[in-house]
Amino acid sequence: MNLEAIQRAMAAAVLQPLTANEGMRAKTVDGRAMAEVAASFIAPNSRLNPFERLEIYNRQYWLRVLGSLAEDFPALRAVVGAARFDALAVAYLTEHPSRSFTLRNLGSKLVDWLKAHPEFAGRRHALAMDVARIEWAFVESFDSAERAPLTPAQIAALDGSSRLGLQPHLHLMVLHYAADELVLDLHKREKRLTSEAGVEHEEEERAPVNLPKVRRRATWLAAHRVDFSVYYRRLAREEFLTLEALRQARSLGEAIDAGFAESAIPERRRAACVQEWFGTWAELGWICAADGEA
Amino acid sequence: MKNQINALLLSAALAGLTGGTTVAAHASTNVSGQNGVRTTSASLLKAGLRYSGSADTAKHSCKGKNDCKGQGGCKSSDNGCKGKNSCKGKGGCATDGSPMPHAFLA
Repeated sequence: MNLEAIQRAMAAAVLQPLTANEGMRAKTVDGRAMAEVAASFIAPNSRLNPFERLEIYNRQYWLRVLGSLAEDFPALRAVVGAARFDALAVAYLTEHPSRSFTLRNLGSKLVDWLKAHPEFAGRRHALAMDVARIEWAFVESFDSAERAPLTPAQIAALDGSSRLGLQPHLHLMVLHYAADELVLDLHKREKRLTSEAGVEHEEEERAPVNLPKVRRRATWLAAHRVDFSVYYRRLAREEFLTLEALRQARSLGEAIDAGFAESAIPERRRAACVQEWFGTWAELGWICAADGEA
Repeated sequence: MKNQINALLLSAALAGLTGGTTVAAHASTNVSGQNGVRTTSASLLKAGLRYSGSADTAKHSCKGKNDCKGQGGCKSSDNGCKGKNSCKGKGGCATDGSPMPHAFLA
């Protein structure tokens, strides 16, 4: 076997889900005996045969990626239930194995994947989608880039045709539920269940979570970072639409127009709203020069 | 009429940007400590911000490491890492001490 063939065989074995007993499967995906595959490129040592040596890496990979995914989506895990989340995680990671040098990116496709696989979320699929969106936005906001906000001189040069940029760590979400409070509560629960020594209270952790009633209503949310901490903020619909239009590189005038499309806010109140929103965004450093501009 | 309204909204946006930038600049001069962390807590609350509780640098700091040696939380199917000085190369490490997902029990 050449190096590429060995690497492919190794990867195929490592990425294959474990058995019920946390062991490596006896057969490969294409039905070959794993013991023979392992023996084709791994030598035995004094204690372990090729199968057992390969199994170490298979176990290591799955324990690590499953633990990492659960760590990034504790609220999703609580919403769908621990057992269902475990099945969801194995199915998702089988389809989207780790492809990056960092496990930070592991959940990058989870929201889209969950949308296409409602069977893994059960009857709370829409809520689970919202929760997954929020939790992934928190991961993104945690380490996305930060650009210099607009300076007074840049603001003085703006007009209706100007284009603005938004902070890369600002993530805008439109949700079916007001799920932000739920996520916050579930994150607090997760922290409570983890002792200072980092040992989780397993029984309580796996127990079904009694979720508070979450109202189904359109909710607009922004997640972003301030001083190395992630925060979120609810937005008015018009606020969200304006920001979204700015992100789509529409001009300032067009973005304000888009924000008030089909708005119920009376015209006499709109100027005050706009001034307040832009003031808050500037204070939070959300507004930058357009992409490609200094 | 439409143009007048648009001009009014545009002026409001520019006024807001100017005001907000001034407030941010003022806040950034109130630095605490040597690393220049902005003391904007009051402003953040006023802006309706909620702390996500997920910005735990320790949680993310070990991601991307392949070696669980010294990280604790070793686990393997039989006796864990009991009596072993390092789980490196032994397999079955879980740095958070989590149990194997029950999906494998199906």
